[in-house]
Amino acid sequence: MIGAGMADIEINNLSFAYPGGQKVLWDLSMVFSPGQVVSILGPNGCGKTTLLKLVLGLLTPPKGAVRVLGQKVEDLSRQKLARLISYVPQSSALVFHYKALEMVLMGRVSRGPWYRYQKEDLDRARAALARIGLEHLSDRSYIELSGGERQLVLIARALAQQAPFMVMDEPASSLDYGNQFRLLDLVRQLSQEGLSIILTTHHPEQAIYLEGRAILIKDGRIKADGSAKDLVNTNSIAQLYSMPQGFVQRLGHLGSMASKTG
Amino acid sequence: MNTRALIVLAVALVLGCLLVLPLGRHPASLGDMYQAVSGWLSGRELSDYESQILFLIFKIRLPRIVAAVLVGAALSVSGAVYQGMFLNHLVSPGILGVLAGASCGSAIGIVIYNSWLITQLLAFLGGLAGVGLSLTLAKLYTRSPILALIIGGLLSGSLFTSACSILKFLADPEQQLPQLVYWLMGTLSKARLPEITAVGPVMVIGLIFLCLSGKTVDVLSQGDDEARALGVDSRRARRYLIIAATLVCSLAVILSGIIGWIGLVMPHACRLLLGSGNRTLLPASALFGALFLVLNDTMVRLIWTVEFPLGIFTSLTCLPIFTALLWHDRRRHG
Repeated sequence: MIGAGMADIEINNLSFAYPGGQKVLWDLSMVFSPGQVVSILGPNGCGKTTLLKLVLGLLTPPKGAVRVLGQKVEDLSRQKLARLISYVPQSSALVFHYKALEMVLMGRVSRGPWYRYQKEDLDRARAALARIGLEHLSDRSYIELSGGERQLVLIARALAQQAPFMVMDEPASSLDYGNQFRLLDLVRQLSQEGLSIILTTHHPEQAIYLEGRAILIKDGRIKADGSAKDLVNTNSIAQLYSMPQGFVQRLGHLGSMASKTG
Repeated sequence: MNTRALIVLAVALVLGCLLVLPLGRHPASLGDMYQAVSGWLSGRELSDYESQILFLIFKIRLPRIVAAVLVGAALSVSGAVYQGMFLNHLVSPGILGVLAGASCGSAIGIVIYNSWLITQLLAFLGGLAGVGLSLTLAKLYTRSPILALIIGGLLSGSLFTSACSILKFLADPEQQLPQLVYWLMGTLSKARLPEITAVGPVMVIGLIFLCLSGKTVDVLSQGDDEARALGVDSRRARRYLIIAATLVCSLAVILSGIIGWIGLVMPHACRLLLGSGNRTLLPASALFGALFLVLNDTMVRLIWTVEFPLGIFTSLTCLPIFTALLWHDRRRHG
């Protein structure tokens, strides 16, 4: 295993089971280093989202530990953790009509419950919206935006947190084909700018497109961990998703994607 | 944050309070009132008429206006806070069982203990029990949390309303029963200076806390996981907000009995006019709710020879106001 530095997210012998349920994760160990883009792949129910929730400190592990900057996640305050790791959910189930700018400004709330937003916070929120190319929609209601625009607003909110790590839970799952790759382009750019990104996805071609590290998880255990380019192929995907290899080959999806990016 | 809208609402509230001050069964113009107050402040000897006016202002009219401001603001802002943190348009202090619980607690205080301090404490505990029961019932049915919360609130409200009915049955029919029935229909006629000084300071502190919690409510309305990932300890924040909102509502019940609908309709009215951002919405709801109740209370004092119960009157006036706002919103957004 790669040695863990102080700026890493380090996971040691992590196991987890939901109350009254079966074990979801089994003795997982890994290190996320600064500047990496990591795609976590695996079938439904393999523990991808649970792993992200443990990294974000939303669940407490009964065994093992997640450490950020050398400190256990559960020992860090919510405010401090939010300044280290930002979160982009699959979607936000909003019932109220917040403006896009108001949504992004919520990324600054980790400054404290009684902290009054300053001009700098507003500037950061506007800059985050501009970074994703949606500054013209800042006064539009988030609920009235398209699925792709909403996902971008959630990314802008995470950017406004100014955390060195960003965790994304299937960020492209509700987007059409074109928007999926526009979003992946943005993820690549952000990674090149120094942001560390950990994301889950059901689409192997997205991991190849991102050209980073891939971790394949099945039944709560790590099956493979390495460069997405080397790791994600018809053989590994057929095994991961328990599909006949011929079927994956017939799809031809991975091959064409790999040739485009290679 | 829409500071300009808040200033406009604050000015409207102050003007509204000043304009209704001379209105009532005993005629006194604003000019007469100004003369009497300035005379009293300068220390000169006052005429009998001026003394009567001072009595009218400080012992009758002003306490009642202050009570209307506090009750209207408390019900309205706590409705907005409950709606935001429970991610639900339909909740309000009335629907969550807070008002029924607080009424039941107060009724026990009035009928059994006859003590002001115990009545306050029981009102708060009753309010907490009301919202606590709603939330417990909602947690038992997780498949549809929104529906479960509403049904839980209705059941909780029904339970405490039944308990109140038992107290009415037990109350002394000559003395306690008429007092209890009239108070439960909602009225500010019993709100006098001693009552206001007893509950007012705590209500003001609670209202300030709630009005400044907009950022936290915004984040809580994103759901638990997102709120925590954004840096808010959602469980602790929710606990503090429930305690503060329930406290101000329970104290409002002590001052006025049950006045429904304000907690549901006023936040929505402000949302239609000013948007959903809680940094503006919470103080705006407080100001708008206060103004609304001041005007309603003035009308119940003036329209009939006998004072009409305020709780019933506000139920009648909330509907046309909300319909007009929906119409306005429809015309604006097409």
